Amino acid sequence: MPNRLGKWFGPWLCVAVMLAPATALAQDRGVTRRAQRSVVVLAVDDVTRPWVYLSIEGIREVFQETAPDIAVFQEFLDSTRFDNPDYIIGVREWLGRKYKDQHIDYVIAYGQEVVDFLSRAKGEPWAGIPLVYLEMTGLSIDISQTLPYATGVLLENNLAIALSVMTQVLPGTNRLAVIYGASPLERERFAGFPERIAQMRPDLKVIDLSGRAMDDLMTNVAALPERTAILNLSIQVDAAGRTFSPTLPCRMIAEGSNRPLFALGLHDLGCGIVGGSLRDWRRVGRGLAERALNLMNGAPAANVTMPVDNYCSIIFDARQLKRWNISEARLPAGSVVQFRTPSLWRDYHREVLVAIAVAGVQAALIVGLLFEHRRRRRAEVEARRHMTAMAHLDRRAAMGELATSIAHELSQPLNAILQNAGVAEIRLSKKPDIGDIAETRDILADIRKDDLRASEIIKRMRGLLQKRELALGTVDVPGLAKDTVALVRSEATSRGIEVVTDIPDDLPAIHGDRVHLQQVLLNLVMNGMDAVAAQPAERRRVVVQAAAHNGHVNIAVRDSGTGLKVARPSEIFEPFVTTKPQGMGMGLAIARSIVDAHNGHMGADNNAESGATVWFAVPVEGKES
Amino acid sequence: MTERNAVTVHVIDDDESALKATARVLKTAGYDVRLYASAGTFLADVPDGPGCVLLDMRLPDRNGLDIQDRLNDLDCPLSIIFVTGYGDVPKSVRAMKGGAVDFLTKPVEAEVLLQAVEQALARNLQVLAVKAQRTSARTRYERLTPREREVFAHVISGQLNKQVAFDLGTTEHTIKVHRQRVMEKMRADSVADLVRLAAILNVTPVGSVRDA
Repeated sequence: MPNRLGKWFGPWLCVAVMLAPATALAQDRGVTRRAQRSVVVLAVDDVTRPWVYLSIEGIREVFQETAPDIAVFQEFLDSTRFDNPDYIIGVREWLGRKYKDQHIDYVIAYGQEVVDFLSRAKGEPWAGIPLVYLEMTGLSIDISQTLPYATGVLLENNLAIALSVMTQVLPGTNRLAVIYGASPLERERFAGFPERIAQMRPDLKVIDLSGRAMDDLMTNVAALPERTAILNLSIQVDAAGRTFSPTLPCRMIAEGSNRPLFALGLHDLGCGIVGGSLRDWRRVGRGLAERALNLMNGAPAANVTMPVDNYCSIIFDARQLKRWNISEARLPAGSVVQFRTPSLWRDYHREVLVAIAVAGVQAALIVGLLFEHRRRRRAEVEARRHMTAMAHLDRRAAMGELATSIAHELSQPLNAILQNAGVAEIRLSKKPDIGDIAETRDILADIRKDDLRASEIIKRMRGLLQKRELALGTVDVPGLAKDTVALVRSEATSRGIEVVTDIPDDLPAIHGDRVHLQQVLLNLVMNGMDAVAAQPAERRRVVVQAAAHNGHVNIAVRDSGTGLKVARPSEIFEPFVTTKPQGMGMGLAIARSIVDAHNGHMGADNNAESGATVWFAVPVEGKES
Repeated sequence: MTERNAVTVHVIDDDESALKATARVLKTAGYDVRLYASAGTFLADVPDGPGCVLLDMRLPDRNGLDIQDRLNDLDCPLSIIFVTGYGDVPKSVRAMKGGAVDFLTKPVEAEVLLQAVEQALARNLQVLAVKAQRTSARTRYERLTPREREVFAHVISGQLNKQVAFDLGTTEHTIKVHRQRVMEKMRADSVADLVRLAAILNVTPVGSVRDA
């Protein structure tokens, strides 16, 4: 059996390694080259086949890791497809010519065909150069004479294991559809497989689907009987002469078949095969390179033991396991499962734990921040409540200052009412049958008018004395100014001060709390009155102005007093800063916190001529945010 | 009770409805009423006839007390009743010292107002009477010769003719004649009468009374 296996696998598994002696020097294009060892890899199949390029990659990897100075060349004979003797002679000559100036230290040969090639014709072109070959469980020829420096890597057959793994994961399987391509190479290489499988596994009935055109194959694999598995050995070229890239056939078959698909190379995993015992050609390459390195390090070829390995791993594709409903419990011990649908816990449990911990910490932080936010919010509410409470006290103080004037103002209508009532009584007592109804009616009308006037004064006062939180709404500025001026009118009169408004009627409404804004304005007006109280009569004048500007309404109180006697006008808004002998210094500080709560701003300036202007601006209704 | 339509009550108040109501009370009681919305209009032509002034303490153009001072300066006989919207003790004290008849706090009952007016008018009549007396006494006094005035001043101190004569360096008889002339010119019936007139005229007695 080894011989036959060698015949099947040998051609594409022969690697010859040739190493150049370290002393070799070569001149190339006038540049002095350092002594460099070199290896030539000689294969049968073209290098685009996965088993070739993967194993060459394995070789390069090892050299790269351990002896990066070794140059690797690769050649392929293509002798399976072109086996006429002239061609072989030509190749030999061509190689000789090609490597005339390139010293080769080792040859890695893929399989018996290459070993044959090198051992015939007295080892030309690289006679006597140490050789590492790869072959399936040994060569069928004796090369000890012609190639004394040869050593090999013996590749154990994997087919039996692959089939047993297959039936282990799919226990009821009793048919195996075997697929390979229609190229001469494939025909020669795989022709014996169906028979061998039948011998090896009598329990499996082989369905031979070799050498078909792809369309035909697809039709067949779509309608396979139950309990059938498919084994794709290789399709390089189909019966219709169509050439396929290495992994495409597996993808196509897996896509179109109604039964699970298997193959023998690890490179097919992920292309639709279920998995199983799969050969890793990269590892094969590494084995060859390590062997070559042993030789290079001086171990005589004859003493280097020949390892026997199948270079296989039992690996499955989780997606296919799922597709064919194969429980992972049935997989052989030590199986690796790839392409899992990302199961974070299985693949990344450490990372997941870290992520959960991070998320937990983050959640704790968020909760903490929320808590903090709530505390802050509560503090803000508290501060706002304090502000409104302070504002209320301030309003009461202001009303206290105005109390005398307001009492006087209130006494006017009350006096008129009392006297009118008295007159009416007198008239009635004197002339109960008086016919002058018109006069009495007039008296009553006057009483009513004065009563309303009194209640208006009380309402105005009570409005300002309300204790309440900020309640934002629409506030018309002219009305606000008018009411405020009305509140101080009596006081102004008694102090001989003229308080006037100069406000356009078309001013937009503002967004705010009427009571609090009136308090601010009242504060400014009363300050203005204090500022002009000591002035000569013609300068005892306070003007309330308003203008819309930049989404705000700016309300200013302008006096003609002596101006602000502070370094910076804005100082007057600081708590406990006062310019008045009896002042607490809280009025403007409270006013500013009220304006702040309206998203407004406040300022003060000395006028160019005389006195000062203190102003505040509050957003226009609808632009408050 | 005085003849009401013969006197005028002047009301000064900047509040229109107060003015109107007060006027109504006074007119109903039969008074002649004149209304002023400001101190200025009142002071522009200060009346003097019999009557009184109802004066609001707070006026836009002038403080009520200023008006009182002004009227006193002018020796205006009109009695003043202050009316204020809000009791103010220091101001009321000053007002009363300045000769105000009353100090009313609004709101004022019509009855109270009328009583105050009545009182004020009575005071006004008194003042006018005193003023008239003084005027007539002054006229009589001015007719006395300087020697008669000297005798007048000595007589009202309670001196006997002999003492007066001694003080003035003349005879008792001459003094007797002068004294008779003084009594006639001043239309005094007795020395007591003469003393009263002297008080009105602010004539200071001269000479000391000694035991004879």
